[in-house]
Amino acid sequence: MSKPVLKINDLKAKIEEKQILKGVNLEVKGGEIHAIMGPNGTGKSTLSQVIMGHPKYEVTGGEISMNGEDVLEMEVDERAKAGLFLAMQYPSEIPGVTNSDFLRMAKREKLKEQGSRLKLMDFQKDLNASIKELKMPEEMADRYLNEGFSGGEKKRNEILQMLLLKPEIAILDEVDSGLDVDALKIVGDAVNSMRSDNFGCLIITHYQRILEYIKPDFVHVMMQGKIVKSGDISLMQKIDAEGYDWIKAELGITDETIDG
Amino acid sequence: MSKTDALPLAERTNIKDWDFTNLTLKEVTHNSVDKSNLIPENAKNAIIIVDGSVVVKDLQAGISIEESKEYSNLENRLITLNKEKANSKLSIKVEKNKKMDEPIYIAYVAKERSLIHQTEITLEQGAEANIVENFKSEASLNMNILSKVNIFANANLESSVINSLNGENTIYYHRLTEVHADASLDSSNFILNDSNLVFEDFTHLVGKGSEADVKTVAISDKKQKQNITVRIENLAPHSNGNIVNYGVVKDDAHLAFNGIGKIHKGMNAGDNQQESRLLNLSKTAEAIANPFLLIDEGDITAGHAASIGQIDEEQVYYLMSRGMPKIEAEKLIVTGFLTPFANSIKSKTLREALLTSIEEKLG
Repeated sequence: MSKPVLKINDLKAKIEEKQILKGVNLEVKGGEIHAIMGPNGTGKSTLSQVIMGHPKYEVTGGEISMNGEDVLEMEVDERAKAGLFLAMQYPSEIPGVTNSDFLRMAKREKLKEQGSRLKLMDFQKDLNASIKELKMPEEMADRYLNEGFSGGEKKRNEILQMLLLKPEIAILDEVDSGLDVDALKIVGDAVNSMRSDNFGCLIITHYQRILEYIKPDFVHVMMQGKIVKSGDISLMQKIDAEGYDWIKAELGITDETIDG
Repeated sequence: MSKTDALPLAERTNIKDWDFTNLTLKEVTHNSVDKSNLIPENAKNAIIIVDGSVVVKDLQAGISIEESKEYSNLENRLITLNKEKANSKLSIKVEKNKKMDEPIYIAYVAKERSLIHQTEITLEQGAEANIVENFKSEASLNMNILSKVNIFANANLESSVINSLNGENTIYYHRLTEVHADASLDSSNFILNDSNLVFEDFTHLVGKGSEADVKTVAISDKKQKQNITVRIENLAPHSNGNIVNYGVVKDDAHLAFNGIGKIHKGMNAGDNQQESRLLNLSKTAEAIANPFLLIDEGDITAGHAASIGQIDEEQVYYLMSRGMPKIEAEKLIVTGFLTPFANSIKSKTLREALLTSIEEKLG
């Protein structure tokens, strides 16, 4: 199996009449962990939603491909089946649907795509193991999907789905917000456990905290709807020590947001 | 009676031009029927009526059936029509203090002619029974169904009515239940057909300490028009009525739920509650919740809650992002929406029938 690869080329997107992404270029391959950093309001979350196909955003230019296939031509579910996964910042609540029923159905769809069938016993075993790994209470499986979950529980539940669905490229959107240090470590361990040539990860964050647990291979900074700087982990360390002002100075800008 | 000229009061639905009177009438008799899909295999009590002929009658001791007696329901044009043209009748009685531990399954099948039916169910004092009535048709035939239920003192009836009549037809269904002192009704209506329908389920709490819990679910799609009225009247002190309505509409369907609670003067210490929840899956469908509380007495409790929701695009997106096709995502959201209703249904078979119908209607 060749390494999965997500390619984003000069991506532009808007919501309603507001242009948010203004030409994003990025390539994430299996075995790599990328981090996109940047202050609020620079287009980071929009990038993740556009990759997944949120209906509210309109792509106005550029390309996204997954293993060579045109992602922008795919429905949202087809993107998931192609191997993409987005751990959402604000996951929806689905009343009346238990977490385990939902996970089972999602897993079944995924296996169907791969031409195999869900074995209930295996699924239950995997589910129990993953719940344990994430130190979630067992009854989380029987609760309605995200309904009444605390912020931290929702985030862990997103990671639980990632562990079970085993995507090729996962995007974690602000997965660290709402998590305490213990939970951060648990989530970090879970992501690290998936590291392999068949798994690439894009972590979107405006804190450095999560990156202490998941060491990125590549660090990018996003401002004004574009990736304005890329580097290795030393870039993160410099931001940690000095903030973003030096980057703004380099670029000659004062307002880093998409309005800037 | 001049009043009999009026159509039923189908609040918020225009039924003036409906085809209620276009009935297929002819003489047919049947001796046998394929029981599968009509009653559970292991049923201990079963009655199947095909085009008016009783073709299955397996009953335990303590129950008797006969042709129903003269009717004294409310009057309107369609009830009068039924009384004039009825071609199928059943009267079933559970003896005094008889506690049936096995459900009684009744299937009414319309094969070749319109079902113009009358049912009378009587639970004598202290009797207990669980009756499941299943209306089925094998052709697009118009229907008119009257039902009278008498629950005498200290008797308890668990009643389920499944309306899975196929075909694009017009149905009038009217039921009147009287609940006597310290007796109770736990009733579920499953309206899972493809018909245009006026459905009236009226309960009179006539005895002190009587109780009625009437739950109704309807799923309307395509160009279906359905008008459902559930009415509970407190006609005795210390009586409790509870109405729960759940509806899902899609395509160009029209679904109106009228919930009516009425507490008569002097019927103190009564309670009358109702709740209607509707989910609208399309921009061209119409979902109406129409709650009425008519109260002529001060010393009572009453309340109503109603909500009409649209399917949430964010929810669909979220489920799709996990690999579920849109249609599966919508089905899952609808199933979740109906979960509180399904959980209130004791019978596993009926819960499954509801899920199957969701599959069929949303597939």
